[in-house]
Amino acid sequence: MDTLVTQLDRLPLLSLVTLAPLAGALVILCLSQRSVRAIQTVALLATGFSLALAAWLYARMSAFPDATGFLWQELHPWLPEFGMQYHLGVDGLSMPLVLLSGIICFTAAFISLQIDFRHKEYFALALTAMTGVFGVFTSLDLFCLILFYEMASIPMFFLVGIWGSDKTGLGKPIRRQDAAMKLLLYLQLGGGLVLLGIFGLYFLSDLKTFDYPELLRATLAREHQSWLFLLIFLGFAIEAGLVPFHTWLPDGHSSAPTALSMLLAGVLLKMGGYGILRVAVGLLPEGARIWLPLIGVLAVVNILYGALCALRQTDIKLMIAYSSVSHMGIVFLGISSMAWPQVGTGALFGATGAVFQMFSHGVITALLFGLAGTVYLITHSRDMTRWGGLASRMPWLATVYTLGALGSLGLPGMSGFAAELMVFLGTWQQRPFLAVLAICGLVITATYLLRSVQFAFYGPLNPRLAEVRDALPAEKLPLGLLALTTLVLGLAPRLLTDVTTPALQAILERLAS
Amino acid sequence: MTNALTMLQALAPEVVVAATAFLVMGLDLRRNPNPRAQATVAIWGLLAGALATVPDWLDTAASNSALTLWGGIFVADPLSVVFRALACLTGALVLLFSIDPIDTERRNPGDFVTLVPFVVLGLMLAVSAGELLTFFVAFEIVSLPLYLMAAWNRNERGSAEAGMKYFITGSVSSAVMLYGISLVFGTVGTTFFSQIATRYETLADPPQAFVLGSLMILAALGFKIAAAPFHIWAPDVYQGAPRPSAMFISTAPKAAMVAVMLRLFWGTLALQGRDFRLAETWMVLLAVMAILSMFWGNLVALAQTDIRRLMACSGIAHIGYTLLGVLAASRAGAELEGAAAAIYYVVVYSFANLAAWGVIVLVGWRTGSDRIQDYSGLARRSPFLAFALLISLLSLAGAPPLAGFLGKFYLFRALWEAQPAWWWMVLIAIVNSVISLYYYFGILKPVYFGAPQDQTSALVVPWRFRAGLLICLAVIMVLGLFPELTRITLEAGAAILAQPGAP
Repeated sequence: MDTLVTQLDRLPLLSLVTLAPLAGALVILCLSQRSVRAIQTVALLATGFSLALAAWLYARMSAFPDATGFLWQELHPWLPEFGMQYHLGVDGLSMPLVLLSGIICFTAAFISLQIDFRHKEYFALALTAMTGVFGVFTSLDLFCLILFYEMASIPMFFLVGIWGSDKTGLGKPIRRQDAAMKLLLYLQLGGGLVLLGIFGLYFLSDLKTFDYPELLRATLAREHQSWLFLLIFLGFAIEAGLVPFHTWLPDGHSSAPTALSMLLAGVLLKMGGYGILRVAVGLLPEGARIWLPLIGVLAVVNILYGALCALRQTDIKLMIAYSSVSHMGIVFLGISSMAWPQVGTGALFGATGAVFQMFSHGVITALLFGLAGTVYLITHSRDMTRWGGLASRMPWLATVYTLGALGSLGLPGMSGFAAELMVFLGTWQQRPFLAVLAICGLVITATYLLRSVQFAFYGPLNPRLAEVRDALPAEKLPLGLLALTTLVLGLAPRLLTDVTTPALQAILERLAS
Repeated sequence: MTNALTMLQALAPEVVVAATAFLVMGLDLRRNPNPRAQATVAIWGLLAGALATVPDWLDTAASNSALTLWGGIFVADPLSVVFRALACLTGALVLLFSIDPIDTERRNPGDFVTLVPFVVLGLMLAVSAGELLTFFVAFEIVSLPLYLMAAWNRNERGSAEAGMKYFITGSVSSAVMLYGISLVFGTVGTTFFSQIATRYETLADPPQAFVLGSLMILAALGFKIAAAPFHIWAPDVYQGAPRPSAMFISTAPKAAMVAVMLRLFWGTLALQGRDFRLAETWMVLLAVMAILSMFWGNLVALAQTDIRRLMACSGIAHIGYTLLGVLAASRAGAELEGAAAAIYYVVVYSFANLAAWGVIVLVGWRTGSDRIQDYSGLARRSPFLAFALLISLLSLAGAPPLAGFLGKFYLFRALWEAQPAWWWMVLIAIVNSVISLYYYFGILKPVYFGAPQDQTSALVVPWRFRAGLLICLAVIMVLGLFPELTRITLEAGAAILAQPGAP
């Protein structure tokens, strides 16, 4: 057995995880437009392969909690004169997010079976974007990271614009084409700022390399760190939905086709959070100490503003999108508590909570978007006020939606609770005032989520919806998997924290020194 | 060293192209000229011309030397090889894209075919010129046929107007250039690039007339590459001229003039004088031109509804980016990176632009319209054309892993390398790239999201278009995925360093 494992370790495991969806996309391009079943099968196989391999790697990493540094590294020179290389590797910070990407991509591919036109283009683009998502989490070269980032964000334009849905009904209408353009411009602006910051790292560190482990050894002057941190943070924060740069998020997420909403909210936002932790905080400790306290304030604004906006929505996808803004605020709050790495365990609590929240929110939002999209597919309406009483017609969907909503509002026993508890514990030790304000946001969160359950599934049945169906097996499987993940993590949070703690401690040590 | 054999080798590409030009012209004199056959001959001749640059490359690139003829009037170095080959390939592709539309739409198609090799010949001489007057003559060999090509549909109002505008502004710029050359000659007493710098050093009192002359040359070059504030002719000419002509005007001369700019300004005019640091003056001027071009091009492109005007604006913006590389090349210590980045960028721009224009030519020929809204549903009418447009526009917009991304990356890197205090210019360029996404994707929006206005008509893509587009797309992708190939541009950039006049 051991020999088998060592043999397997010689394989480029992370490349396999990362590039499997792209390989699937290439295969799909060779298939005929008409062989829909084959296209779907290839997509499921490719993402399933990535998920299985990611899960296996995760299990192996959690079996060796003492392992430090980056595992399963692959290093190939690409353009050595410019200090660029194809360098992959994972540690306790990125591994959970790779697993998250695996889960979301696989379930999103399953939900994508609902797509009923232009299959070939859809799956080719979606799988390309998925490779981009995996690549951002696995690359250890900042140039590669930017490359994968663009690869993940550009296909979104077409996916949202072609296969998305327009918002009609109450309030301002949103056309999917406009939402796609907005999403593209914001994501590219974020990417551009990050690129500029990375250039700064490249030149000001005098190392002339984009290699992450190399750059960890760089020493930068305080003022350089300060503005580089600001650039990189801002770039990634745009992507993570920081208020006031969040406006692409509700439009884009609500207009996207269901599976893409899952991918956008589930992992694309997390690319922003991960980038802040990995690049901005990880490489620029001095800059982080300057700016992180302020970020805590922005985070609370995010939490409250997102929640208040969500409260006003009657369009279910928009409500979930605004709840994402609110929940990403908790990630920002957790990250900001790393500003005081010396004081007690607050910083570690906060950082772990941030990563936990990224994972948990990724799974829960994907679940909610998947459910909302499925109900939309059945009822042809995204307006919750026009649903009503659906629990009697679709008990399975109603149950799982309630479960997801409870997880999202932080019911103990679900993953959301563990994440938020850690963040608030961390913040409480440092800045109790912010923690109190943030907890107020949770009350609003509970209000709008429970209200949505009530609107959608309880009350008198809308007579026009008397004949609707419940979820099909092909929908139950991915949604059930997501719900199960939330429950498992809520009951056994150590599954995640054991993996993340060493990596986060390493970052905190750098911050403290 | 100038024995007959060296001379033949150095001049082989020009000889081939000149022979092709005259052969094609001769074929036009027959009683029943066949423009398709003429174009085919011209394409093969131009390809042979590109191939004939290979011996020069092998001779000069490894040792980073130059073959010079007639005491330095003609220089065959890696820089000129890259751009001579590029001019030949561009000409061949333009002809490939114009064969099919040519005889149905226009009168005297043979004239058009004949003019292309002449322009290419002029471009090849311009990038290999070792002194100012030869360069000027070559520059005119390029310009005159291009004026004709712009006005070639003389019965059409737009084309006649385009030709007139192009001709008047073009002749003024030629006059300005000639005046500039005479001022430079009057002050330093030579027109050889390699001697201007050394002569200037020996002057007791650096004359202001020299600065004025250089400034005039810069302005005239700025006109040729359509850099702001000398750009205003571009949208009208691109819109009015026949589509293949506009395609040619937007690619080949721009690329060649960037090469000339690198050779001229970096090696010669950007001298480090004793009491007047000319190089710094150039940098300020180039920076102003670059920033104006980027902003003007990108912001005005946002408002365009005609794809040809839009491409004109986008071309102006791209020249702005390229000038950042020229600017970086003016900074001691970063010459190589700057020049290499500018060369790489302009090569990539040429191929991406050719692909985009290939689609524009075909769609315009088949539908008679250039309005962006008429591209609605192109993806259904011809997935291949839509894909070609997608890849070329993505490359122009700078999306990875296409060559346009790497090109921008090199430019920004070179600029930062040259002067970290210019990071704000990198920021400006990045902001501009984001702005440009709006209109590039604004074209892709109707193409991919819209429904065809005429449900029945599939657009048939003739094989020549298919082949030409595939070549362009292959170049864009291969250059993006295998950046080792960029070493060619590095070596071409190094040729400037090897110039005698270089500091």
